[in-house]
Amino acid sequence: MIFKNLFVLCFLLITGLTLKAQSGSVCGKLINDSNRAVPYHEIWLRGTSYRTFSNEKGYFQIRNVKPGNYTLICAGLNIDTTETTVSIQDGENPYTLVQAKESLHKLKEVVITATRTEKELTDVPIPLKVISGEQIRQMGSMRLNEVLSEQTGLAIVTDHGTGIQMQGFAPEYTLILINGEPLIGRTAGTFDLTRIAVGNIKQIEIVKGASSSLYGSEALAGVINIITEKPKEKFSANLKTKYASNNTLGISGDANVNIGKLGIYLFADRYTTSGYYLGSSEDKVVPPYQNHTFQNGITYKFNARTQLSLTGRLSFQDQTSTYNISESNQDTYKISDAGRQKDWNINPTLTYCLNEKDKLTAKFYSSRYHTNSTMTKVSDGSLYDESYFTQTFSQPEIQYNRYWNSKNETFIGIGSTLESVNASRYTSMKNFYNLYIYAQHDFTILKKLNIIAGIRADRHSVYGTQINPKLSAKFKLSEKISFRGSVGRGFKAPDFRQLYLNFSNPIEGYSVLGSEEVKYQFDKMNQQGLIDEILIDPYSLQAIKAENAMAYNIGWVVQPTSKITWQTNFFRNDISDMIATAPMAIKTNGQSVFSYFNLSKVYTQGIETDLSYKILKNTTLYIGYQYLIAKDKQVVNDVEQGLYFRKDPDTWQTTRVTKKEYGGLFNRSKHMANIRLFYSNPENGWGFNIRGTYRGKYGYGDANGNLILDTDNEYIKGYWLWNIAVNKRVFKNITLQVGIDNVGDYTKPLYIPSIPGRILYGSLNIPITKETLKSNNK
Amino acid sequence: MYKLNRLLIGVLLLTAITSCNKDKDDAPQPQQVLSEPIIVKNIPADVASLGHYTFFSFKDNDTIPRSDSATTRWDIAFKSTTIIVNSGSSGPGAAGAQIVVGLFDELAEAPANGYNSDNASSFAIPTGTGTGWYNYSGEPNHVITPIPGRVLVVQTSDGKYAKVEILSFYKDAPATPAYQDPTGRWYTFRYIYQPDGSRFF
Repeated sequence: MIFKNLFVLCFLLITGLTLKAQSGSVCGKLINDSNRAVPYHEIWLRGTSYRTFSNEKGYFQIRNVKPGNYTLICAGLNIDTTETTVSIQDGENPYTLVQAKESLHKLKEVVITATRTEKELTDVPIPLKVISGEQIRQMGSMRLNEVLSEQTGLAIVTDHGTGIQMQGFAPEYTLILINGEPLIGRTAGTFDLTRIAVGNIKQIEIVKGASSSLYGSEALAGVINIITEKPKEKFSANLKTKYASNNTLGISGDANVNIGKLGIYLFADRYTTSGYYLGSSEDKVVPPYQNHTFQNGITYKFNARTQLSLTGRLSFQDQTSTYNISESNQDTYKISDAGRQKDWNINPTLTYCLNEKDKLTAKFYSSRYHTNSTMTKVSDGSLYDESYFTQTFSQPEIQYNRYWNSKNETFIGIGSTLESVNASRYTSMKNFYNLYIYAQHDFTILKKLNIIAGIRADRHSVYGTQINPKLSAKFKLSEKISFRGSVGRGFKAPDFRQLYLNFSNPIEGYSVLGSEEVKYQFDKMNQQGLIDEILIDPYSLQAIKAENAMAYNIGWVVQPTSKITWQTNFFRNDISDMIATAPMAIKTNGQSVFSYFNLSKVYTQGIETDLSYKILKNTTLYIGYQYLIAKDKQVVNDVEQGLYFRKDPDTWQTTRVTKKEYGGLFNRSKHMANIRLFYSNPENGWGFNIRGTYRGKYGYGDANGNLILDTDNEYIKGYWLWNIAVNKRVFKNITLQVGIDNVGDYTKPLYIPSIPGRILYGSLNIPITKETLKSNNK
Repeated sequence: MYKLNRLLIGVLLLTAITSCNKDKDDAPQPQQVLSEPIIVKNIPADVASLGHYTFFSFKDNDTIPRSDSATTRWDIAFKSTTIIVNSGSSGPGAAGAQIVVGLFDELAEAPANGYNSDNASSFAIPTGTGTGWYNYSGEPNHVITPIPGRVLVVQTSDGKYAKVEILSFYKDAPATPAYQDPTGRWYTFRYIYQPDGSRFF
């Protein structure tokens, strides 16, 4: 039967090939060292886009190959990557049997984000974590924030949206990528993670440590790359629906179609929620909203060497919230705020393999993000305020990869970024222009030592030139123990509001001016007689600089047995020129005029450790922990000098803050941990998981006037969140899931609006394959 | 050798510390023993937003009527977050003030010089958040909090010295002022006035 199938395949191939001169085919079987077939593993010819998977019996075939000598590579989870030299003649070629060594660790996952080249996870010299699509499904998550909240060392923080804190950095310092390209549209620095649906995610890669040598601005704390599903060889489709507390409904579907050289992947997602109240809040802390997301992935193989891919995303979000606004004359209005958000991106990419060793990639990524908000008074429906924000981003880029040999690989790339922003709080449309060049060399010496050296230069129209190098190394002491370390520089460009904001609060009366606007707007205010006292002369100011950091990471990966992986990473980040607001003048109304300055120096350091232990065949336990210290260097110094004080608000007793009492930056937990147990039995279709995340105590804000964290009442107590989920495959591969998020119903009204209390849910996953369609027709 | 060095350093440090303490003991004492600081509660500072100052005399430990604003009877006056002293652009007196960073109780002696008077472009006690006596918390609570460890040292209209610590900007000095607390512009402060003309408190 097998051989018959194979014969048919090869026959079809040959007949196909007779139509086209000078092309050959290779077919064969992939087996492991115990002669068992290895199904569903990736097989490709190096330096070409000829690529396929072994089928369920381990057979594979690659068609329409230009005759010549190739290296056939087989890789995947269960085997060590194996290279075989094949000589492909015109027409039919001999059957190739590839025997691969069974992988010791079965953890071979290919990742791309850390080095911008495909590399096995265990070979990456940089701290990197992968969350698989399978794990996301088991967790029952619908939005990206839910997935990231359970990962070691990441904390969810809410500031104009739900963002992520990494290695102690605020959300604005982590670059969020989709398929390697930046997602735009941040509010006050936060990219709202609830915007991202997770139903089409193949895997999420989280890189820790400055990565500006590859990605430029914003990659200061690290990079989160969302990799979406790509077109597959076979037709498949999937429908999923989930209903949860707070009237939350998610419906998503995807489909894979393959027509000859054309592969199409489509995804659509609809998410609606009624939002929720917390504590005794008068208005909903999370307002009702609905989101629609569409994503596609199209690939077209012109020929063996040339492939075009086109990925795109379109998303709408509508929400209506109500809240009270009090004006300085004590009038209070109930306001209804209707907001709409729309963003799209598109990324055509052309890949051309010159030969087995040289590859060119050209792409043109474009994206647009738009929001508008209309505020009306609930009492009479009259307009209170209207605002909008529009950002565009386009980035053409060319990259050349050279594969020298199995020990040396180089790439170099050049690109430019054109950005524009227009908003009601800016005086006019603003444009940015950035030209960049980057290069990286990856080499292995002495068999055990792998070194990657990279550098990138950015020349920007506003903030000048940035040069960011990075050096990383991995030393494989043995099969079981390896050490890795990296040193790199990262930067974050001043964002639009820091440069161009021109905002006067109509209620409080203070003003905030971006550093590029400050002279002009300040003069204008002065002429209008609005300035009472000048604290900092705007003409004495220098242009604002990009924030930058040096990042050091060092750690190890230990795999004592095939069941245990233990990773540990020590990190230290020294951040300079951090931008903060400071008053520069006093207005005649007594309020201040603020602008942005390079003010502070901060450091973050800590340890992150992760253990995964396969207790039983189908059961894996994960334990993660992070210890973090994040402090402002100036404050540390001033505390040492005895210049910080605090007043007991009850006794009015003023005392000096000691070094030990200074708790560092607000919103950073010294201890964070997680423990997760996953059980999944593919044979009987049962799955179960229980996940706990701990966020240690952290400072929420100043309560005694010195603006720093130093007393117990400035902390929020540590807390655990527990989630459980059970799933069962029922009729025809349909999977039913029920679960409870936040089992303990933990909430902290006023302080943590992002935690909604206990959530119950149920979901249904319906896969559709050719086989199921056929059986339905019968 | 290393251990010995450490020991040596330890001994040196110890002597340094003890000698410091000795210095303190030898410091000159105030000529007149002063009583506990006087606590003044709920001085309104333009509560009705009329642009009016409330004037205060340390010697009298009392407010001075607004009709006497052009005299040297008052030392210091309050309007919202602005504090003026009777000098320069603010009044006919020769008062001055400066902000000393430190503990109120520890400040045993007023600085000999460094006193500023009010003028058209700046006040002796600077206004604005973080620059003078208070911090404004901004979003989301909009609370004015006196910066702890800021002592206002005032050279009064009659040439005497007083040290002042602002305790609260809200009526009845609540421990935690509420969100956008509407009871602002009520000062609570404590002070020590040295009537003998010396700089010692």
